[in-house]
Amino acid sequence: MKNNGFFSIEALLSFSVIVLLIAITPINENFSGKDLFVQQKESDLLIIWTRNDSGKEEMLKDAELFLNGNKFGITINNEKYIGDLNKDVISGEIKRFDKGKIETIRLSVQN
Amino acid sequence: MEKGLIFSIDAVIAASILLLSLTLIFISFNYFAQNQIQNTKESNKELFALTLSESIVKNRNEKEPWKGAAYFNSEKQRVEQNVIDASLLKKIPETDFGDYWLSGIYERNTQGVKYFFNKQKNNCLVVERFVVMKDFLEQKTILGLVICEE
Repeated sequence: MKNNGFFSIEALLSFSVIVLLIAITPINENFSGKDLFVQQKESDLLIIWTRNDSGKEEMLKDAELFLNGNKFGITINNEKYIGDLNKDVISGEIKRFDKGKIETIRLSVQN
Repeated sequence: MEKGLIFSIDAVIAASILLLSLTLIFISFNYFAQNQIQNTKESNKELFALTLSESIVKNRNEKEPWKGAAYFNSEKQRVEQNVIDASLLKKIPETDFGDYWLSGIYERNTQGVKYFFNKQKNNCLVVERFVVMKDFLEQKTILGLVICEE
C-alpha cells in the first residue's frame, strides 16, 4: 500500500483494537455488604436456635419472619428438613447438644 | 496548497480519531470513577452498620450502651451474645458518629413494629438482627438499626 502520511488502515485497526481492549477489560465487581448481611442473619438465627433449644417448627417460623422472603433451607444432621436450594447459596452451620447427642444444624440462604 | 512538513489529510484524520478516542476513554474513566466513589460510600455505610449492630448485639457497655447492650447473665458470669438487655437498649440515644448517624432503633416481631426512637435523616440504611429481648419477659424479636448519612 502506498504510504501517503503516517495514517494507515493498519494503524487505525491497531488503535481500534487497543481502545476495544481497554473498553472490555473486566473490572472487579464492587464490594457489597449483601453477603455479609446474609451471613450475619444466619449466624443470629443459629445462635438463638442453639440457645433456646428450638424445635423444627420454631426454626421455620423464625426463619420465615427474619429472612424477609429470601429462599432458605434447613438441614439437621445432614437430613433436609425444608428448602430446595442448589446454587448461589450462603450457608452457616452450628452444633448443639440434643439429649446427649451432637446435632448439626445447617441454614442455607439463597443469595 | 503548500503542505507543511508533516501535514496531510490522513494525518488530520488520524489525529482526530486519536483525540476522539482519548475523549471517549476519559469520559468512560470519569463515569467509572464517579460510580466507584458512590459505591465506596455505600459500602462504607454498610460496613459501619454491620459493625455497629455487631457491637450492640455482642458486647455490653453500661456507660455507653451504643457500644454494647447485650445481657449479662450473672449466673453464668458472662455476657450473652444476641441477648439484649432492654433497659440498656432504651438508653441508646440518637448518636452522631461523624460520617453517619444512628437515627433509629426499632423492634419487629409478629405483633408489629415498635420504635425506641426514630429521627430519620437522608440516605438511610437499615440493618436487622435476630435477638432475644430481655425485659420483664424474654422474647425473640428482630432488632432494627437505622443508619443515616446526615
